Amino acid sequence: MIWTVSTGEDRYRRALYTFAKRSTPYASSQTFDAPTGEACVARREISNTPLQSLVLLNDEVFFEAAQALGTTIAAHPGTPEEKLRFGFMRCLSRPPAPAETARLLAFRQAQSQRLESGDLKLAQLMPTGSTIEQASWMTVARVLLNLDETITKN
Amino acid sequence: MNCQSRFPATPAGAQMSRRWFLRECGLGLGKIGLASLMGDALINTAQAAVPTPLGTHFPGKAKSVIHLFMAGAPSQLDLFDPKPELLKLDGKPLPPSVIGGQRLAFIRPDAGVMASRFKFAQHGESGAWVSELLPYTAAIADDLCFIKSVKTDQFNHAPAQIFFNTGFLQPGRPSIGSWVTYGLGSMNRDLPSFVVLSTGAGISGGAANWASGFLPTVHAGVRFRNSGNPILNTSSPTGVDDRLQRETLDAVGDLNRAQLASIGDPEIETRIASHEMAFRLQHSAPELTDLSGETEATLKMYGIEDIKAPCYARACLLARRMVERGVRYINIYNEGWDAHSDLAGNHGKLCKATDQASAALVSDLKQRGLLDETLVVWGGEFGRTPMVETNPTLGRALGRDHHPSAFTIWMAGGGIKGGQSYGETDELGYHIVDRPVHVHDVQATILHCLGLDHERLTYLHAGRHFRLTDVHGHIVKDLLA
Repeated sequence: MIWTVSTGEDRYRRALYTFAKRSTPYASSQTFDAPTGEACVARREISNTPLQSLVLLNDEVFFEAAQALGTTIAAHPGTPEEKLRFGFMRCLSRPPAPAETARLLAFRQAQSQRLESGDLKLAQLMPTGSTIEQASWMTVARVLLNLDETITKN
Repeated sequence: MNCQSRFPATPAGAQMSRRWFLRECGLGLGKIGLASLMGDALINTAQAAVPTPLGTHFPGKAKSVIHLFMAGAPSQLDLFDPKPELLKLDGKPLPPSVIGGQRLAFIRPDAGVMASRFKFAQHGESGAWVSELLPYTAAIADDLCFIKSVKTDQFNHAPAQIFFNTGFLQPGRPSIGSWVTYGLGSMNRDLPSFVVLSTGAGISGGAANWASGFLPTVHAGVRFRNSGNPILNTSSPTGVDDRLQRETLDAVGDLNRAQLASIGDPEIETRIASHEMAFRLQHSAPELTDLSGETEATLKMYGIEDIKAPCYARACLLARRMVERGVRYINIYNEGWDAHSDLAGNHGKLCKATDQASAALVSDLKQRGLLDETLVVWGGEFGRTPMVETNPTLGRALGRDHHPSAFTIWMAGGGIKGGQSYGETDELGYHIVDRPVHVHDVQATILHCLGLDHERLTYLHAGRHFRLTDVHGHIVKDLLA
């Protein structure tokens, strides 16, 4: 069965509002142990699998989230440290430790250089009209969104 | 202590999470609790993303196991265990002495007997009895070891399935696949060691059947999809090259490892291992699941018409490819055998959907020289009653109820002597009269084939050494090659 992806505003509604097809559950939800809807469950099943990592890393929904968060971080006023702190707080509700700041800024620096040199293709990584700065923060956002501390609430 | 799972509104309050509690309490409650869970592992978790396997206790013949789990419980009386006596009693109740005080799931003990409608014949040199519903299985009877005297403790599906897989009726213990990967480790670091494929309807026992219980979650079964593509998202997003993906994972890994070092939550370790496995799966999964290189003869043998259409046969072929690539434990579930009504129709349909592929898997492994090191197990979680289930209120007629006291499974390859039938039931197929094999005995025997001693494969949890077989289980030596 083919999933028709919503357009416009509906595309960005919360997953809570994803249309539930009983016989064809939404694939990402299934990967994250969502019950099928065919029977009641007393307790959600919990797993931690490589297939979930694949969704978090590569699924379009999560990649677009990283693009949007990267753009938001880039728009935040201040130094790179302040921008990073802002993005980090958004994901983790705590400020980064100095070692975390250093690691992530170095990562961003490396990706910026690859973007500047054309080794990484801005036009492929980001929507039309985006800047290299936004793209570099997207790569940082992707790291933040894949941290265990981000994925696991408590 | 004010430890809340929801983030409070104030930024300072955000520190009062479970993580903060565990991290900031130093040698307090959290670390003591974790230390007891993990033993010495706490000290060096940061280095070891995947625990070192224990290794075999003695040389084992099997390296891999494929368990074809017929969930819902097929009827031994219509497939493997013919009982002419039932023909004589057809429609009449069983003598009360047979049933004793035993309770049944749906029917009353005085329900009439239902003889099988299917013709049986003896097959192969071993003369194994197989019914007309399973012509392909019958044709390879000499490769199979039929155990006709298996019994279980549980008479409902979920507990019985979980019992078969974990040795205990309630969720929470490690699955046999997890025990095996804990004991033997991986043979291919690019693929999960314990893979689950589900065909047919959902499995009533759910993920508890392949959960790792108190073992590290890195040993949990990984469930591939039974839809178009078994594994999704194996391509990086457009524009993300291998180097960016690698450097992203390095950064994620560094930050996760720092968290792990300060908190010691073993789930972080599993997350790190999962992300690394995901990266490797991006290269290994497409190759594994691409069936386009399989010959026409192979597809025909399994009965696969369309390699893109998910079905039990495709799962069997995938299992063979996984074994070739070193996957340790593979569970293929085929759910739907719970024939409380119209047993003939139900079993007719499911046998048609599975018989050819189950047999093809054994033959295919054999022709590739892999059967000697691959143990194949076929069976359900219990059997079905000799008595008919008829219930107009529930719209049921000509079915059979759950029967934990006796059922048939077969095993083949990897350390098992084929061409034999083991154990015997009484003339009504109700009780075992010769050489009973308890589920714990099956588990002990499977582990033995892999070179693992079920009494020595233990894990310290909650103050005692747990085993798959608890304090039970005997290796059935007569089954061994």
